[in-house]
Amino acid sequence: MKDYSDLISPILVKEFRQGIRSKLFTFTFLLSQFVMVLIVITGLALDGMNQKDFNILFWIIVILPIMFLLPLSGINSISEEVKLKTIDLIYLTHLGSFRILLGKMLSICFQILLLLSAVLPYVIVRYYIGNVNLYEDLVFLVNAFLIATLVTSLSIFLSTVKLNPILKWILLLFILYSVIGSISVLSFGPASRSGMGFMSVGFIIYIYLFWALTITLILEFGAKLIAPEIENHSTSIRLIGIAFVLIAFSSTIFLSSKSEKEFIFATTMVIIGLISFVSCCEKMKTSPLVYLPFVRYKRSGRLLGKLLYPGWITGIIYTVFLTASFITICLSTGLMPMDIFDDLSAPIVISFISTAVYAPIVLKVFGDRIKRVITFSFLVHLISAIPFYFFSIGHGMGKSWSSTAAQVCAFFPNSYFLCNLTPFNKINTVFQIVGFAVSLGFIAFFLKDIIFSYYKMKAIEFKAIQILKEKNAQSLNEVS
Amino acid sequence: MSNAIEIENLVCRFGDFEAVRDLSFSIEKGQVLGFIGANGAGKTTTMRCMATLDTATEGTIKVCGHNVIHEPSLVRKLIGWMPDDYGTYSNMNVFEYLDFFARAYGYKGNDRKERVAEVMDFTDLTSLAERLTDKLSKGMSQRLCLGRTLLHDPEIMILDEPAAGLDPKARLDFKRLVRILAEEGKTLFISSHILNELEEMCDNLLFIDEGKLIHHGTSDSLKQLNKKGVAMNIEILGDPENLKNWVEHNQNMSMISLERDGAKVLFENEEKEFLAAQLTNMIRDGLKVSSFKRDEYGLEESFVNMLTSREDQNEGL
Repeated sequence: MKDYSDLISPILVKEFRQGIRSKLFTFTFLLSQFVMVLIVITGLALDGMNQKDFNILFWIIVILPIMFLLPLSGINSISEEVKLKTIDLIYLTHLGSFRILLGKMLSICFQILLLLSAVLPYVIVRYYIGNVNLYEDLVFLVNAFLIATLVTSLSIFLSTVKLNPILKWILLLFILYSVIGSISVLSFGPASRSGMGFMSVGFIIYIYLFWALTITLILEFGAKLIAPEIENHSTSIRLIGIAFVLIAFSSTIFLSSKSEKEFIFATTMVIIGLISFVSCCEKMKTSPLVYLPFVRYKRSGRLLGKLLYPGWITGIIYTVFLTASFITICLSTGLMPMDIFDDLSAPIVISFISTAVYAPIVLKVFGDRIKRVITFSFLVHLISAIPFYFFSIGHGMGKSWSSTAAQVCAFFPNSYFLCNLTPFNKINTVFQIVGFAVSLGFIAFFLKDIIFSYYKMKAIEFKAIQILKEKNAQSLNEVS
Repeated sequence: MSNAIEIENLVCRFGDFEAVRDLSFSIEKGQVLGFIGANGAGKTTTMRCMATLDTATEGTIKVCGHNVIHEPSLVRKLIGWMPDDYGTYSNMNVFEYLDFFARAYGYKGNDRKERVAEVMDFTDLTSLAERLTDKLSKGMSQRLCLGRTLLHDPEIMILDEPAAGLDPKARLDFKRLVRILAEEGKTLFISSHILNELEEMCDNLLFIDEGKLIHHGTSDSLKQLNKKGVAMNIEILGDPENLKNWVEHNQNMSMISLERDGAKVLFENEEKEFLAAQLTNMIRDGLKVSSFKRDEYGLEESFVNMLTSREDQNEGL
């Protein structure tokens, strides 16, 4: 094909043109065709028992390029553009960071679809050989494609992360682990969990909704990492968080199965936790342009901005708002998703929120010396999660251990909440006082910083209002 | 005439490092301006800020009256940015490369095809349309990159080291293209290390050092400002060391460099009578002078003089 429609995104056209000529795609395509022919011919010659083994081999050969080889080809796509400095050239056009990532992802997805469509005749031929459930196979192929798109979005996200290769590989392992987890969910379904039974149509629709939102979220995370100062992805990420909560809320109306609802709420909780964490670690944007879309709507816009402006200060307000909304929904619908955990659920949530809030505090202490904010935040998060682990281990071992664990935890600020929200709060007063003092110190430091940053944010907001006024005056002049 | 670019008190900081310090200048529309500075002087940072790719810490940049911070989308339509690295893609031919950027700039249908054809024609790339971009020579890549910069027909073109690493023919080709663009009335902002070439192409020159503006004007004004006498190429028969000794024993002159058959000598007075007297003295003192001619005082010497005197001033402080 020489020319492509103007309706297709330019970056998709570019990536597709490059992708289908790449050695990886050509090699994968030809090799999979060769192996398919070989397997089908060999399958014809075998009896029923061995055919089953060959079925497994058949699907491994299908899945390997679709779920791993092609999706992971995107792992260097953005870092290459940055290295070649071509990313700057693209920024100067009409394309933004999100569209760049989306185009790259869709291009790989189209390559996967091409490969899948080439494999489809062999799937159907196997049906005529016998011992094959065509419906199950097709469902599996659809699910495999959906998971492949998820892996692709993750690999595109990884390409935006400035990490050393070891950390990138650790993240890659995490991706593979997620894939295996997703396969188990999609293949065996929630049916295998807590007697959920078959998945309802409504639940499947929710799964697809979550799939689409998760991919958008992953790409927004990636876009946020590479975007120029004037682009704002924080607001989109926070809106996605709100969308997750709303979808979870709607599931209480449209779904009847409690276990399905629990699954949706548990997933939502993990995702909004991640979004809150990222929001709380954000550096404040100094460009008034980012504030312009909000100040345009005057007071209501500015009020909404306090929740959605980029920066850690609004991130904290957002975290509190989102968590409160989520808990309210859980309580009002009579559904406590924490039921799937044990009685430590409340401390888990509170510890999670409080540790999420620590990252910006520590970031503020170290100031501009930290170059890799996200990596550092993860580290802080891990360290501050220690009391939770101490406490949960101690709690699991009995009351006396629980008390000792609480003493150790007392040094950590979040343990103040932890120890007081559980029945096992008989901790040593000295330890508690020390813990409380540390908490107060943190809070005092934090408050000072909050006030300073709040006024800094107001100053940028004011600048944005001035720009808007100038623009309005200019357009009025032009009209007159 | 209105200004194409106006920069006021530009400051760019990266952590503790200040790449650009309080830089202010303006360029009239239709001018060709050469932007000169040593490595690390802050040229690329300034240009990236002008192109909306970096954000200035302080100060304002206006492109055709539009603030780059407040109206980046508008500014991007007005400027064409050609970086020092050409940045081509693998598995993509010349037509596809330009077609991608034409699409990205919002061209559609026949307009897009026509625009790509026009640009390929202007940059002599039509015959290379099917050639893969990573298989192009440096000169061809540079023309391709210039073509990409021209796709959206920008009023102002910012070219960072466009002639670096090119062979003489490619340089001549490039100069020809720049001349045509200047005749079309485009404002060109070119940074380069090849100063004599800039002198030929540019109406004005802008020198920066350590992020500060040190000169803005024509090449002649710079030469006059930094001229400290006249350089003469002298050739003698015999050992050039004799000439060196003679120069060292005389006043109002100094050695620039010792050559194979003589030396380049700087005389502090450029009056003809003074030079004739020195030639007579040389012959009288036994030097067999075979050639005595004035050396052209180039832009490069002026630039080096300017930097040296700045360093001397700084040391004096």
